[in-house]
Amino acid sequence: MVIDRKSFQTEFYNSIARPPFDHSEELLFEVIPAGTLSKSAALQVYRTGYLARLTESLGETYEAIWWVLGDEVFFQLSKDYIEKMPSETRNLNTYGERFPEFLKTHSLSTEIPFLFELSKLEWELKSLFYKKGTPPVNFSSLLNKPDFLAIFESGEISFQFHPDAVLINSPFPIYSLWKLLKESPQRKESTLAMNQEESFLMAKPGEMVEFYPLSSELFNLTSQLKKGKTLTDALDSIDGVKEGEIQHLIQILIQSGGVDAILTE
Amino acid sequence: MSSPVGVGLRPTHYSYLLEQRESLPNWFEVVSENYLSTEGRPIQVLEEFRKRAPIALHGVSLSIGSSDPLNRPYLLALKKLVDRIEPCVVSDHLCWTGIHEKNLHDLIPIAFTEETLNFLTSRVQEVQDFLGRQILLENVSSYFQYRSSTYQEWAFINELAKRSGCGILLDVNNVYVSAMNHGFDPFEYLRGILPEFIRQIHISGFTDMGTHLFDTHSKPAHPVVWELFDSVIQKNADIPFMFEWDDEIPEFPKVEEELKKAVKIWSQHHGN
Repeated sequence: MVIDRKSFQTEFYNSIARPPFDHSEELLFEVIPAGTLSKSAALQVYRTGYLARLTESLGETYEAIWWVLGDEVFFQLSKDYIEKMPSETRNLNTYGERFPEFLKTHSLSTEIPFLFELSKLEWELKSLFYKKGTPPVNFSSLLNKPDFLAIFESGEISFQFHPDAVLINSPFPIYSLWKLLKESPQRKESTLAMNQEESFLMAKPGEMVEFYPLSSELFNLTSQLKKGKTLTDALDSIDGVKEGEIQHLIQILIQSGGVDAILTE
Repeated sequence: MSSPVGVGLRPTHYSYLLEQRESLPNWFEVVSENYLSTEGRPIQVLEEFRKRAPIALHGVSLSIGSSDPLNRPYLLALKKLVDRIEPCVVSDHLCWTGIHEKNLHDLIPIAFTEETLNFLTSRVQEVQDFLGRQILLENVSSYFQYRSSTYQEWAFINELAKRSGCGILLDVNNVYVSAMNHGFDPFEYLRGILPEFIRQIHISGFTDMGTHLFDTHSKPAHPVVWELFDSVIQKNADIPFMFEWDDEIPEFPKVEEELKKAVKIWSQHHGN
């Protein structure tokens, strides 16, 4: 019973990662197990290792989801996800990109409706951590121009947003929950009311990812500015932004590195 | 004469090691995949360490033994990292890790046959030509062998090194784990390996599962593993050696205890 290399590797892979984990007699014949292991037990060593490594990777990325679901449910969900979405990456750190989508369509999302949004936040956070970042641009030469104030007051300025800055609006307080768990990971429960809308900008002006909370009005304004609208046009399309808040927003956009150019007409 | 001792660089030790100026080690090894295609803090920290000491890039996903074609995007990213870091060594494992573009993220052993030797020789040469340098391949711990194997592992590795021009990264813990798992003499293995091809040595710890030894890299080294290290290092003062602690990683001083054991053994043969 001779099995060629490609067939062996295909079958071995299937027996480790693809339910129902079948394998042929030819594969079993080829395997001489280690120590006092049986052939099946030798394959199980690799099967257990595969599940453990990918579960660990998901747990490192989705710490808050893990906390929300608890060990038993998280491990079962991870197992289901791993069977459905085998790894196609060479870097284990990047496994799990589709976990938020998996949670979105899972029945658990009916009971815990913020799972998708929270997991999406955690994936965006991880992605941004591995990017170069959004180093703040020094706009002082522009801001100190004699006519800049007049141009600003006319509203004829627009902003070029850094592609790595992330703007998020959620019907759930996902950032507050994430922050709570980061600050005290040993806590057993949260009294946070999970029916509050939350908006924020995520950027990386230095080594670490930073969060900049926004009111819903400022989120709407930022969304319009992100489309390339001038400040005037953006303000015309939304309601409720107070004048002092505009300066506050621009300060955030500059300090966070969220904008890398300010364009005057 | 200073020993060529190194250590695996782990994020949990970054702050401690960045503050140290004079203590061990003399070089660091990192997992290549953690730094591919990233511009965030990890690569910035790596570049900071690179200013202070040589860096060895040790990969886990080359999958040199896979029936899949060599992965071009992976090799391109690796070459970019090599050009950026200018490592003292580029290595990976003598194994396969996946098939049909799927990855098991494990080091699956290969069959030691003439057919595999011919297959691997051209692949290793292709990788070396692409990277523009020699690579080292590490012997892995294994939990099964192939009935079709016709070479002893050490003879196979020697032959691959001869034919392809690669070097050997000799993991003495993996030699011991595989020897106990498959019933061969680890000292015979080391006598069989041709010393001229050994370019680096790894030392680490394993876990005894009762039915087999499991390569966890999560403990101090076993006494026999130190004996194996001693038998190799006495023959050559210049081979870089290092301790790997990859899981349940303790504070650095505990890892440093293992480094000091290694240096003590090296010094008994080559010290002043």
